[in-house]
Amino acid sequence: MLKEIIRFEFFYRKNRPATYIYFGILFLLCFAAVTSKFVTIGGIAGGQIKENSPYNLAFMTIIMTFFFTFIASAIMGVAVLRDFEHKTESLMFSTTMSKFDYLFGRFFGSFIVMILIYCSIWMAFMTGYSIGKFLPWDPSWKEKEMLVFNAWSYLQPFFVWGVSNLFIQGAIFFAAGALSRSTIVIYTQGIILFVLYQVSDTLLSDMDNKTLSAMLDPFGVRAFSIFTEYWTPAQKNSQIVPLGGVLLYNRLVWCGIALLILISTYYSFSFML
Amino acid sequence: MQLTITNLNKTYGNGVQALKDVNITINQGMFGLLGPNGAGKSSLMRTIATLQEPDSGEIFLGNINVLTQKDEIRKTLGYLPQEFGVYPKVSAINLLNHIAVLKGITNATERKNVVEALLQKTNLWDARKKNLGGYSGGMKQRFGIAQALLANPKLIIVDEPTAGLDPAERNRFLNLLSELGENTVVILSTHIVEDVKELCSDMAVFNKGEVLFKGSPEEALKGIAGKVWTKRIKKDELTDYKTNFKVISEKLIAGNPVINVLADQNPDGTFSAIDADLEDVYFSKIFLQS
Repeated sequence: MLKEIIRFEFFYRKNRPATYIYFGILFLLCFAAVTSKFVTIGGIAGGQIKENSPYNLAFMTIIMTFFFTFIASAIMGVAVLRDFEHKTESLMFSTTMSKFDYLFGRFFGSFIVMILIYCSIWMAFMTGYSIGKFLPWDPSWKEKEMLVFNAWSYLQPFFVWGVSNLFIQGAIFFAAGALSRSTIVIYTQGIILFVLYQVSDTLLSDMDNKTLSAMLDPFGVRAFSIFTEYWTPAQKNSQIVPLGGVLLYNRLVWCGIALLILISTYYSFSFML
Repeated sequence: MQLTITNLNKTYGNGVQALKDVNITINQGMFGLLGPNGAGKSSLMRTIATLQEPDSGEIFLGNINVLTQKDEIRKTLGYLPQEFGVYPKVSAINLLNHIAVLKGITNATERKNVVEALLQKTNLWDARKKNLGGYSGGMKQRFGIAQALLANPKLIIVDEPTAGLDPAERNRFLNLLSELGENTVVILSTHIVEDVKELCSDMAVFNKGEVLFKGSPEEALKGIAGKVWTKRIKKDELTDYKTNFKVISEKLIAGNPVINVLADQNPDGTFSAIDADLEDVYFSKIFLQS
Protein backbone atom coordinates (compact mmCIF):
# COMPACT_ATOMS: atom_id res chain seq x y z
CA MET A 1 0.00 0.00 0.00
CA LEU A 2 2.87 2.38 0.88
CA LYS A 3 4.38 1.66 -2.52
CA GLU A 4 1.15 2.51 -4.31
CA ILE A 5 0.81 5.81 -2.46
CA ILE A 6 4.39 6.76 -3.34
CA ARG A 7 3.78 5.69 -6.93
CA PHE A 8 0.60 7.77 -7.22
CA GLU A 9 2.22 10.81 -5.62
CA PHE A 10 5.11 10.57 -8.05
CA PHE A 11 2.76 10.03 -10.99
CA TYR A 12 0.69 13.05 -9.89
CA ARG A 13 3.74 15.35 -9.74
CA LYS A 14 5.08 14.00 -13.01
CA ASN A 15 2.05 15.41 -14.77
CA ARG A 16 2.16 18.83 -13.16
CA PRO A 17 3.81 21.64 -15.13
CA ALA A 18 5.04 23.23 -11.88
CA THR A 19 7.51 20.37 -11.40
CA TYR A 20 9.25 21.20 -14.67
CA ILE A 21 9.04 24.94 -14.10
CA TYR A 22 10.85 24.61 -10.75
CA PHE A 23 13.52 22.47 -12.38
CA GLY A 24 13.94 24.97 -15.22
CA ILE A 25 14.21 28.00 -12.95
CA LEU A 26 16.84 26.39 -10.74
CA PHE A 27 18.80 25.12 -13.70
CA LEU A 28 18.86 28.51 -15.41
CA LEU A 29 19.76 30.33 -12.22
CA CYS A 30 22.67 27.99 -11.48
CA PHE A 31 23.81 27.90 -15.07
CA ALA A 32 23.82 31.69 -15.16
CA ALA A 33 25.70 31.81 -11.87
CA VAL A 34 28.61 29.69 -13.09
CA THR A 35 28.84 31.12 -16.61
CA SER A 36 28.21 34.84 -16.19
CA LYS A 37 29.75 37.70 -14.29
CA PHE A 38 26.41 39.06 -13.17
CA VAL A 39 25.05 36.25 -11.01
CA THR A 40 27.03 34.73 -8.15
CA ILE A 41 26.12 32.16 -5.52
CA GLY A 42 27.98 32.40 -2.23
CA GLY A 43 30.75 34.56 -3.66
CA ILE A 44 33.67 32.69 -2.10
CA ALA A 45 35.48 31.70 -5.30
CA GLY A 46 37.95 33.88 -7.15
CA GLY A 47 41.62 34.65 -6.71
CA GLN A 48 43.43 31.50 -5.69
CA ILE A 49 40.26 29.53 -5.03
CA LYS A 50 39.08 27.97 -8.27
CA GLU A 51 35.46 28.27 -9.31
CA ASN A 52 35.11 24.52 -9.83
CA SER A 53 36.94 23.61 -6.64
CA PRO A 54 35.24 21.08 -4.33
CA TYR A 55 35.06 23.79 -1.68
CA ASN A 56 33.19 26.29 -3.87
CA LEU A 57 30.90 23.64 -5.35
CA ALA A 58 29.93 22.44 -1.89
CA PHE A 59 29.29 25.96 -0.65
CA MET A 60 27.13 26.83 -3.66
CA THR A 61 25.16 23.61 -3.22
CA ILE A 62 24.39 24.53 0.39
CA ILE A 63 23.50 28.13 -0.44
CA MET A 64 21.04 26.95 -3.10
CA THR A 65 19.05 25.08 -0.46
CA PHE A 66 17.93 28.51 0.85
CA PHE A 67 16.40 29.47 -2.46
CA PHE A 68 14.90 26.05 -2.46
CA THR A 69 12.81 26.80 0.67
CA PHE A 70 10.14 28.40 -1.53
CA ILE A 71 9.94 25.39 -3.79
CA ALA A 72 10.15 22.93 -0.92
CA SER A 73 7.24 24.56 0.90
CA ALA A 74 5.12 24.48 -2.25
CA ILE A 75 5.87 20.82 -2.90
CA MET A 76 5.84 19.34 0.60
CA GLY A 77 3.08 21.56 1.95
CA VAL A 78 0.42 20.36 -0.46
CA ALA A 79 1.23 16.65 -0.17
CA VAL A 80 -1.52 16.19 2.42
CA LEU A 81 -3.31 19.53 2.11
CA ARG A 82 -4.37 18.54 -1.41
CA ASP A 83 -7.02 16.24 0.03
CA PHE A 84 -8.59 19.03 2.05
CA GLU A 85 -8.31 21.52 -0.79
CA HIS A 86 -10.04 19.23 -3.29
CA LYS A 87 -12.38 17.71 -0.66
CA THR A 88 -11.16 14.21 -1.33
CA GLU A 89 -10.46 13.49 2.35
CA SER A 90 -13.70 11.54 2.91
CA LEU A 91 -12.92 9.26 -0.03
CA MET A 92 -9.33 8.72 1.08
CA PHE A 93 -9.86 8.28 4.81
CA SER A 94 -12.70 5.76 4.47
CA THR A 95 -10.52 3.30 2.53
CA THR A 96 -8.47 0.62 4.28
CA MET A 97 -5.29 2.68 3.91
CA SER A 98 -3.48 3.13 7.22
CA LYS A 99 -2.44 6.49 8.59
CA PHE A 100 1.21 5.46 8.40
CA ASP A 101 1.01 4.52 4.73
CA TYR A 102 -0.93 7.65 3.91
CA LEU A 103 1.41 10.12 5.62
CA PHE A 104 4.72 8.50 4.77
CA GLY A 105 3.64 7.54 1.26
CA ARG A 106 2.78 11.14 0.56
CA PHE A 107 5.96 12.35 2.26
CA PHE A 108 8.37 10.09 0.41
CA GLY A 109 6.60 10.48 -2.93
CA SER A 110 6.97 14.26 -2.68
CA PHE A 111 10.47 14.00 -1.24
CA ILE A 112 11.69 11.98 -4.23
CA VAL A 113 10.24 14.58 -6.59
CA MET A 114 11.96 17.31 -4.60
CA ILE A 115 15.34 15.53 -4.84
CA LEU A 116 14.91 15.12 -8.59
CA ILE A 117 14.19 18.83 -8.96
CA TYR A 118 17.24 19.60 -6.86
CA CYS A 119 19.38 17.59 -9.30
CA SER A 120 19.02 20.61 -11.59
CA ILE A 121 21.71 22.25 -9.46
CA TRP A 122 24.62 19.87 -10.00
CA MET A 123 23.52 19.36 -13.59
CA ALA A 124 23.68 23.12 -14.19
CA PHE A 125 27.06 23.40 -12.44
CA MET A 126 28.51 20.55 -14.49
CA THR A 127 27.14 21.87 -17.76
CA GLY A 128 28.18 25.42 -16.98
CA TYR A 129 31.79 24.62 -16.17
CA SER A 130 32.06 22.20 -19.11
CA ILE A 131 30.80 24.46 -21.87
CA GLY A 132 31.36 27.88 -20.24
CA LYS A 133 34.39 28.72 -22.36
CA PHE A 134 32.56 28.06 -25.64
CA LEU A 135 29.60 30.32 -24.89
CA PRO A 136 29.09 33.58 -26.78
CA TRP A 137 29.56 35.49 -23.52
CA ASP A 138 32.54 35.38 -21.15
CA PRO A 139 32.43 33.68 -17.77
CA SER A 140 34.48 35.36 -15.04
CA TRP A 141 36.97 32.44 -15.15
CA LYS A 142 37.54 32.54 -18.92
CA GLU A 143 41.27 33.29 -18.68
CA LYS A 144 41.87 30.96 -15.73
CA GLU A 145 43.35 27.47 -15.63
CA MET A 146 40.46 25.41 -14.15
CA LEU A 147 40.64 22.15 -12.23
CA VAL A 148 40.16 18.88 -14.06
CA PHE A 149 36.55 17.71 -14.02
CA ASN A 150 35.71 15.48 -11.07
CA ALA A 151 32.09 14.33 -10.84
CA TRP A 152 32.39 13.53 -7.14
CA SER A 153 33.10 17.21 -6.35
CA TYR A 154 29.59 17.93 -7.59
CA LEU A 155 27.78 14.86 -6.31
CA GLN A 156 29.26 14.55 -2.81
CA PRO A 157 27.87 17.95 -1.67
CA PHE A 158 24.56 17.12 -3.34
CA PHE A 159 24.17 13.91 -1.35
CA VAL A 160 25.69 15.10 1.93
CA TRP A 161 24.38 18.69 2.20
CA GLY A 162 21.68 18.91 -0.45
CA VAL A 163 19.65 15.82 0.38
CA SER A 164 19.98 16.30 4.14
CA ASN A 165 18.83 19.92 3.96
CA LEU A 166 15.95 18.88 1.74
CA PHE A 167 14.95 16.30 4.30
CA ILE A 168 14.98 18.88 7.10
CA GLN A 169 13.00 21.44 5.10
CA GLY A 170 10.70 18.74 3.78
CA ALA A 171 9.84 17.51 7.27
CA ILE A 172 9.06 21.02 8.54
CA PHE A 173 6.89 22.00 5.58
CA PHE A 174 5.16 18.65 5.40
CA ALA A 175 4.24 18.82 9.07
CA ALA A 176 2.98 22.41 8.78
CA GLY A 177 0.82 21.58 5.75
CA ALA A 178 -0.61 18.36 7.18
CA LEU A 179 -1.36 19.71 10.65
CA SER A 180 -2.59 23.21 9.76
CA ARG A 181 -4.70 22.03 6.80
CA SER A 182 -4.46 25.62 5.58
CA THR A 183 -3.37 27.00 2.21
CA ILE A 184 -2.10 30.29 3.60
CA VAL A 185 0.47 28.40 5.66
CA ILE A 186 1.84 26.78 2.49
CA TYR A 187 2.29 30.11 0.76
CA THR A 188 3.91 31.87 3.67
CA GLN A 189 5.96 29.23 5.48
CA GLY A 190 8.81 29.28 2.95
CA ILE A 191 9.22 33.02 3.41
CA ILE A 192 8.86 32.77 7.20
CA LEU A 193 11.57 30.13 7.45
CA PHE A 194 13.82 32.13 5.14
CA VAL A 195 13.43 35.32 7.22
CA LEU A 196 13.81 33.48 10.53
CA TYR A 197 16.99 31.96 9.22
CA GLN A 198 18.42 35.32 8.22
CA VAL A 199 17.63 36.79 11.64
CA SER A 200 19.07 33.90 13.59
CA ASP A 201 22.13 33.90 11.33
CA THR A 202 22.89 37.46 12.41
CA LEU A 203 22.44 36.51 16.06
CA LEU A 204 24.60 33.40 15.69
CA SER A 205 27.44 35.30 14.07
CA ASP A 206 27.81 37.32 17.28
CA MET A 207 28.22 34.22 19.40
CA ASP A 208 31.59 33.45 20.92
CA ASN A 209 31.06 29.72 21.19
CA LYS A 210 31.69 28.62 17.62
CA THR A 211 30.80 24.99 18.10
CA LEU A 212 27.44 25.89 19.60
CA SER A 213 26.63 28.36 16.86
CA ALA A 214 27.61 25.74 14.28
CA MET A 215 25.23 23.26 15.88
CA LEU A 216 22.30 25.69 16.00
CA ASP A 217 22.26 26.30 12.24
CA PRO A 218 19.73 23.91 10.69
CA PHE A 219 21.19 24.17 7.19
CA GLY A 220 24.82 23.73 8.17
CA VAL A 221 26.28 26.83 6.51
CA ARG A 222 27.88 28.04 9.72
CA ALA A 223 29.20 24.58 10.51
CA PHE A 224 30.67 24.43 7.01
CA SER A 225 32.41 27.81 7.38
CA ILE A 226 33.78 26.96 10.82
CA PHE A 227 34.98 23.53 9.72
CA THR A 228 36.92 24.98 6.76
CA GLU A 229 37.98 28.19 8.53
CA TYR A 230 41.71 27.39 8.55
CA TRP A 231 41.90 25.55 5.24
CA THR A 232 44.54 26.81 2.82
CA PRO A 233 43.57 27.67 -0.77
CA ALA A 234 45.43 24.54 -1.90
CA GLN A 235 43.27 22.41 0.39
CA LYS A 236 40.11 24.13 -0.77
CA ASN A 237 41.05 23.42 -4.39
CA SER A 238 41.91 19.78 -3.88
CA GLN A 239 40.01 18.32 -0.93
CA ILE A 240 36.39 17.35 -0.74
CA VAL A 241 34.89 18.74 2.48
CA PRO A 242 34.30 15.55 4.48
CA LEU A 243 31.33 14.71 6.65
CA GLY A 244 33.25 14.88 9.90
CA GLY A 245 33.59 16.74 13.19
CA VAL A 246 31.17 19.56 13.75
CA LEU A 247 29.65 18.97 10.30
CA LEU A 248 28.72 15.40 11.14
CA TYR A 249 27.22 16.39 14.49
CA ASN A 250 25.28 19.20 12.86
CA ARG A 251 23.77 16.81 10.32
CA LEU A 252 22.96 14.20 12.97
CA VAL A 253 21.27 16.72 15.24
CA TRP A 254 19.14 18.34 12.55
CA CYS A 255 18.21 15.17 10.68
CA GLY A 256 17.25 13.76 14.08
CA ILE A 257 15.05 16.78 14.76
CA ALA A 258 13.46 16.39 11.31
CA LEU A 259 12.75 12.76 12.09
CA LEU A 260 11.14 13.74 15.40
CA ILE A 261 8.99 16.27 13.55
CA LEU A 262 7.79 13.51 11.22
CA ILE A 263 7.07 11.15 14.11
CA SER A 264 5.08 13.78 16.00
CA THR A 265 3.19 14.62 12.80
CA TYR A 266 2.19 10.98 12.66
CA TYR A 267 0.86 11.05 16.21
CA SER A 268 -0.83 14.46 15.92
CA PHE A 269 -2.49 13.92 12.56
CA SER A 270 -6.12 12.89 12.84
CA PHE A 271 -7.51 10.47 10.32
CA MET A 272 -10.99 11.85 11.00
CA LEU A 273 -12.91 14.73 9.54
CA MET B 1 -26.72 -8.87 8.15
CA GLN B 2 -28.20 -5.86 9.90
CA LEU B 3 -26.93 -2.43 10.81
CA THR B 4 -27.93 -1.61 14.37
CA ILE B 5 -27.60 1.89 15.75
CA THR B 6 -28.19 2.23 19.48
CA ASN B 7 -28.51 5.40 21.58
CA LEU B 8 -26.25 7.45 19.34
CA ASN B 9 -25.51 11.01 20.51
CA LYS B 10 -23.34 13.75 19.13
CA THR B 11 -23.06 17.40 20.12
CA TYR B 12 -20.63 19.66 18.27
CA GLY B 13 -18.33 22.15 19.93
CA ASN B 14 -20.63 25.04 18.95
CA GLY B 15 -23.50 23.50 20.95
CA VAL B 16 -25.44 22.08 17.99
CA GLN B 17 -26.81 18.68 18.89
CA ALA B 18 -26.55 16.77 15.62
CA LEU B 19 -27.69 13.37 16.92
CA LYS B 20 -30.18 12.89 19.76
CA ASP B 21 -30.42 9.36 21.05
CA VAL B 22 -30.71 7.80 17.60
CA ASN B 23 -31.96 4.20 17.47
CA ILE B 24 -32.46 2.52 14.11
CA THR B 25 -32.13 -1.01 12.81
CA ILE B 26 -31.50 -1.22 9.09
CA ASN B 27 -31.99 -4.42 7.13
CA GLN B 28 -30.53 -5.46 3.82
CA GLY B 29 -31.97 -3.60 0.87
CA MET B 30 -32.38 0.08 0.17
CA PHE B 31 -33.07 2.21 3.22
CA GLY B 32 -34.13 5.84 2.75
CA LEU B 33 -33.15 8.40 5.35
CA LEU B 34 -35.35 11.37 4.62
CA GLY B 35 -34.87 14.76 6.22
CA PRO B 36 -34.42 18.44 5.43
CA ASN B 37 -31.01 20.07 4.99
CA GLY B 38 -29.28 20.46 8.33
CA ALA B 39 -31.24 17.62 9.95
CA GLY B 40 -28.06 15.79 10.98
CA LYS B 41 -28.18 13.19 8.21
CA SER B 42 -24.60 13.77 7.13
CA SER B 43 -23.37 13.59 10.72
CA LEU B 44 -25.03 10.20 11.02
CA MET B 45 -23.60 9.08 7.67
CA ARG B 46 -20.08 10.19 8.57
CA THR B 47 -20.32 8.43 11.91
CA ILE B 48 -21.37 5.16 10.25
CA ALA B 49 -18.59 5.66 7.70
CA THR B 50 -16.00 5.69 10.55
CA LEU B 51 -14.99 9.29 9.87
CA GLN B 52 -16.46 10.85 12.98
CA GLU B 53 -16.74 9.81 16.61
CA PRO B 54 -20.09 10.02 18.42
CA ASP B 55 -20.21 11.18 22.05
CA SER B 56 -22.00 8.01 23.07
CA GLY B 57 -23.83 5.06 21.61
CA GLU B 58 -23.05 1.99 19.55
CA ILE B 59 -23.17 0.93 15.91
CA PHE B 60 -22.91 -2.69 14.81
CA LEU B 61 -22.85 -4.19 11.34
CA GLY B 62 -23.61 -7.83 12.05
CA ASN B 63 -20.94 -8.68 14.61
CA ILE B 64 -18.57 -5.87 13.68
CA ASN B 65 -18.40 -2.92 16.06
CA VAL B 66 -18.26 0.07 13.71
CA LEU B 67 -16.80 2.42 16.30
CA THR B 68 -13.92 0.23 17.47
CA GLN B 69 -13.23 -2.07 14.50
CA LYS B 70 -12.75 0.68 11.95
CA ASP B 71 -10.42 -1.33 9.74
CA GLU B 72 -12.91 -4.20 9.55
CA ILE B 73 -15.73 -1.87 8.52
CA ARG B 74 -13.60 -0.03 5.97
CA LYS B 75 -12.90 -3.32 4.21
CA THR B 76 -16.57 -3.71 3.54
CA LEU B 77 -17.70 -0.10 3.23
CA GLY B 78 -18.70 1.86 0.13
CA TYR B 79 -19.17 5.53 0.89
CA LEU B 80 -20.32 8.32 -1.38
CA PRO B 81 -20.02 11.47 0.74
CA GLN B 82 -22.06 14.60 0.26
CA GLU B 83 -20.04 17.30 -1.53
CA PHE B 84 -16.97 15.19 -2.15
CA GLY B 85 -14.25 16.31 -4.53
CA VAL B 86 -11.77 14.73 -6.91
CA TYR B 87 -8.28 15.58 -8.11
CA PRO B 88 -9.06 17.75 -11.14
CA LYS B 89 -5.92 16.89 -13.11
CA VAL B 90 -6.21 13.12 -12.86
CA SER B 91 -8.26 10.92 -15.19
CA ALA B 92 -11.17 8.84 -13.92
CA ILE B 93 -9.48 5.53 -14.66
CA ASN B 94 -6.27 6.52 -12.88
CA LEU B 95 -8.00 7.75 -9.74
CA LEU B 96 -10.36 4.79 -9.64
CA ASN B 97 -7.41 2.44 -10.00
CA HIS B 98 -5.60 4.22 -7.15
CA ILE B 99 -8.62 4.06 -4.83
CA ALA B 100 -9.01 0.38 -5.74
CA VAL B 101 -5.53 -0.32 -4.38
CA LEU B 102 -6.28 1.70 -1.25
CA LYS B 103 -9.39 -0.45 -0.79
CA GLY B 104 -7.23 -3.53 -0.82
CA ILE B 105 -7.62 -4.88 -4.37
CA THR B 106 -3.92 -5.57 -4.77
CA ASN B 107 -4.01 -8.12 -7.57
CA ALA B 108 -3.38 -6.14 -10.77
CA THR B 109 -5.48 -8.28 -13.12
CA GLU B 110 -8.41 -8.42 -10.74
CA ARG B 111 -8.17 -4.66 -10.20
CA LYS B 112 -8.13 -3.92 -13.91
CA ASN B 113 -11.26 -6.00 -14.41
CA VAL B 114 -13.12 -4.45 -11.49
CA VAL B 115 -12.21 -0.88 -12.48
CA GLU B 116 -13.16 -1.42 -16.11
CA ALA B 117 -16.44 -3.12 -15.22
CA LEU B 118 -17.43 -0.26 -12.92
CA LEU B 119 -16.56 2.38 -15.52
CA GLN B 120 -18.81 0.51 -17.97
CA LYS B 121 -21.58 0.14 -15.43
CA THR B 122 -21.57 3.83 -14.54
CA ASN B 123 -21.49 4.78 -18.20
CA LEU B 124 -18.15 6.57 -17.86
CA TRP B 125 -16.19 4.28 -20.16
CA ASP B 126 -15.95 6.76 -23.02
CA ALA B 127 -14.81 9.52 -20.67
CA ARG B 128 -12.44 7.34 -18.62
CA LYS B 129 -9.27 9.04 -19.85
CA LYS B 130 -10.67 12.52 -19.41
CA ASN B 131 -9.48 14.57 -16.44
CA LEU B 132 -12.01 14.60 -13.62
CA GLY B 133 -11.87 18.40 -13.54
CA GLY B 134 -13.78 18.40 -16.83
CA TYR B 135 -16.62 16.17 -15.55
CA SER B 136 -20.19 17.47 -15.19
CA GLY B 137 -22.01 17.18 -11.85
CA GLY B 138 -23.78 14.01 -12.92
CA MET B 139 -20.61 12.38 -14.23
CA LYS B 140 -18.78 13.20 -11.03
CA GLN B 141 -21.61 11.69 -9.02
CA ARG B 142 -21.44 8.52 -11.12
CA PHE B 143 -17.71 8.41 -10.56
CA GLY B 144 -18.51 8.68 -6.85
CA ILE B 145 -20.77 5.63 -6.98
CA ALA B 146 -18.15 3.74 -9.01
CA GLN B 147 -15.55 4.24 -6.28
CA ALA B 148 -18.11 3.34 -3.61
CA LEU B 149 -18.78 0.00 -5.32
CA LEU B 150 -15.12 -1.08 -5.43
CA ALA B 151 -14.25 -4.17 -3.37
CA ASN B 152 -17.80 -5.57 -3.10
CA PRO B 153 -19.06 -3.57 -0.12
CA LYS B 154 -21.62 -5.08 2.26
CA LEU B 155 -22.51 -1.62 3.57
CA ILE B 156 -23.10 1.21 1.11
CA ILE B 157 -23.75 4.77 2.23
CA VAL B 158 -24.84 7.38 -0.30
CA ASP B 159 -25.27 10.86 1.16
CA GLU B 160 -27.50 13.27 -0.77
CA PRO B 161 -26.44 11.86 -4.13
CA THR B 162 -29.12 13.50 -6.28
CA ALA B 163 -28.83 17.06 -4.97
CA GLY B 164 -27.98 19.37 -7.84
CA LEU B 165 -28.52 16.86 -10.64
CA ASP B 166 -30.77 17.66 -13.60
CA PRO B 167 -33.82 15.35 -14.05
CA ALA B 168 -32.21 13.16 -16.72
CA GLU B 169 -29.02 12.68 -14.72
CA ARG B 170 -31.05 12.05 -11.60
CA ASN B 171 -33.01 9.25 -13.29
CA ARG B 172 -29.85 7.67 -14.59
CA PHE B 173 -28.35 7.83 -11.13
CA LEU B 174 -31.41 6.33 -9.42
CA ASN B 175 -31.43 3.49 -11.95
CA LEU B 176 -27.84 2.80 -11.04
CA LEU B 177 -28.70 2.73 -7.34
CA SER B 178 -31.67 0.43 -7.89
CA GLU B 179 -29.33 -2.22 -9.30
CA LEU B 180 -27.39 -2.51 -6.06
CA GLY B 181 -27.50 -5.99 -4.67
CA GLU B 182 -30.30 -7.31 -2.50
CA ASN B 183 -27.87 -8.72 0.02
CA THR B 184 -26.29 -5.38 0.82
CA VAL B 185 -27.24 -2.75 3.39
CA VAL B 186 -27.70 0.46 1.38
CA ILE B 187 -28.43 3.73 3.15
CA LEU B 188 -29.62 6.55 0.94
CA SER B 189 -29.80 9.89 2.69
CA THR B 190 -31.79 12.56 0.89
CA HIS B 191 -34.07 15.55 1.28
CA ILE B 192 -35.95 14.61 -1.88
CA VAL B 193 -39.10 12.57 -1.18
CA GLU B 194 -39.21 11.20 -4.73
CA ASP B 195 -35.85 9.46 -4.25
CA VAL B 196 -37.24 7.45 -1.37
CA LYS B 197 -40.57 6.78 -3.08
CA GLU B 198 -38.88 5.35 -6.14
CA LEU B 199 -36.23 3.22 -4.50
CA CYS B 200 -36.71 2.33 -0.87
CA SER B 201 -38.53 -0.51 0.78
CA ASP B 202 -37.81 0.84 4.21
CA MET B 203 -37.34 4.38 5.45
CA ALA B 204 -36.97 6.80 8.32
CA VAL B 205 -37.88 10.46 8.65
CA PHE B 206 -35.11 12.33 10.39
CA ASN B 207 -35.03 15.92 11.63
CA LYS B 208 -33.03 17.91 14.16
CA GLY B 209 -31.02 14.83 15.06
CA GLU B 210 -34.06 12.71 15.88
CA VAL B 211 -35.78 9.77 14.21
CA LEU B 212 -39.43 10.84 13.79
CA PHE B 213 -40.69 7.78 11.98
CA LYS B 214 -39.35 4.44 10.92
CA GLY B 215 -41.07 1.85 8.76
CA SER B 216 -42.02 1.06 5.21
CA PRO B 217 -43.47 3.76 2.96
CA GLU B 218 -46.78 1.80 2.96
CA GLU B 219 -46.98 1.90 6.75
CA ALA B 220 -46.15 5.58 6.65
CA LEU B 221 -49.00 6.24 4.22
CA LYS B 222 -51.43 4.09 6.23
CA GLY B 223 -50.72 6.21 9.29
CA ILE B 224 -52.11 9.37 7.76
CA ALA B 225 -54.63 7.95 5.28
CA GLY B 226 -57.82 10.03 5.36
CA LYS B 227 -56.25 12.68 7.56
CA VAL B 228 -54.89 15.06 4.95
CA TRP B 229 -57.15 17.79 3.60
CA THR B 230 -56.45 20.38 1.00
CA LYS B 231 -57.77 23.77 0.06
CA ARG B 232 -56.95 26.59 -2.27
CA ILE B 233 -57.00 29.90 -0.41
CA LYS B 234 -56.10 33.53 -0.96
CA LYS B 235 -52.70 34.87 -0.05
CA ASP B 236 -53.90 37.15 2.75
CA GLU B 237 -55.80 34.28 4.42
CA LEU B 238 -52.65 32.23 4.90
CA THR B 239 -51.76 33.57 8.36
CA ASP B 240 -55.29 32.92 9.67
CA TYR B 241 -55.28 29.38 8.40
CA LYS B 242 -51.87 28.74 9.89
CA THR B 243 -53.05 29.81 13.35
CA ASN B 244 -56.34 27.90 13.21
CA PHE B 245 -55.31 24.66 11.51
CA LYS B 246 -52.41 22.23 11.39
CA VAL B 247 -51.02 23.44 8.08
CA ILE B 248 -48.29 20.92 7.23
CA SER B 249 -47.38 22.27 3.81
CA GLU B 250 -48.20 25.04 1.41
CA LYS B 251 -47.39 25.50 -2.20
CA LEU B 252 -48.26 28.07 -4.81
CA ILE B 253 -50.36 27.00 -7.76
CA ALA B 254 -50.91 29.74 -10.33
CA GLY B 255 -49.96 32.36 -7.78
CA ASN B 256 -52.37 31.30 -5.00
CA PRO B 257 -51.45 29.13 -2.03
CA VAL B 258 -52.77 25.60 -1.76
CA ILE B 259 -52.49 24.31 1.79
CA ASN B 260 -52.49 20.76 3.12
CA VAL B 261 -53.92 20.36 6.59
CA LEU B 262 -53.72 17.47 9.03
CA ALA B 263 -57.02 16.64 10.75
CA ASP B 264 -59.12 13.58 11.63
CA GLN B 265 -62.11 14.99 9.77
CA ASN B 266 -62.85 17.78 7.34
CA PRO B 267 -61.79 20.79 9.45
CA ASP B 268 -64.59 23.23 8.65
CA GLY B 269 -66.36 21.50 5.81
CA THR B 270 -64.72 23.62 3.13
CA PHE B 271 -61.68 21.39 2.56
CA SER B 272 -61.50 18.46 0.20
CA ALA B 273 -59.97 15.10 1.00
CA ILE B 274 -56.86 13.94 -0.85
CA ASP B 275 -54.89 10.74 -1.08
CA ALA B 276 -51.91 11.45 1.14
CA ASP B 277 -48.53 10.81 -0.44
CA LEU B 278 -45.09 10.36 1.03
CA GLU B 279 -44.47 14.08 0.95
CA ASP B 280 -47.44 14.59 3.29
CA VAL B 281 -45.99 12.00 5.64
CA TYR B 282 -42.67 13.81 5.61
CA PHE B 283 -44.19 17.24 6.24
CA SER B 284 -46.61 15.98 8.89
CA LYS B 285 -43.82 14.29 10.87
CA ILE B 286 -41.72 17.43 10.79
CA PHE B 287 -44.79 19.58 11.63
CA LEU B 288 -45.68 17.43 14.62
CA GLN B 289 -42.12 17.58 15.94
CA SER B 290 -42.11 21.37 16.27
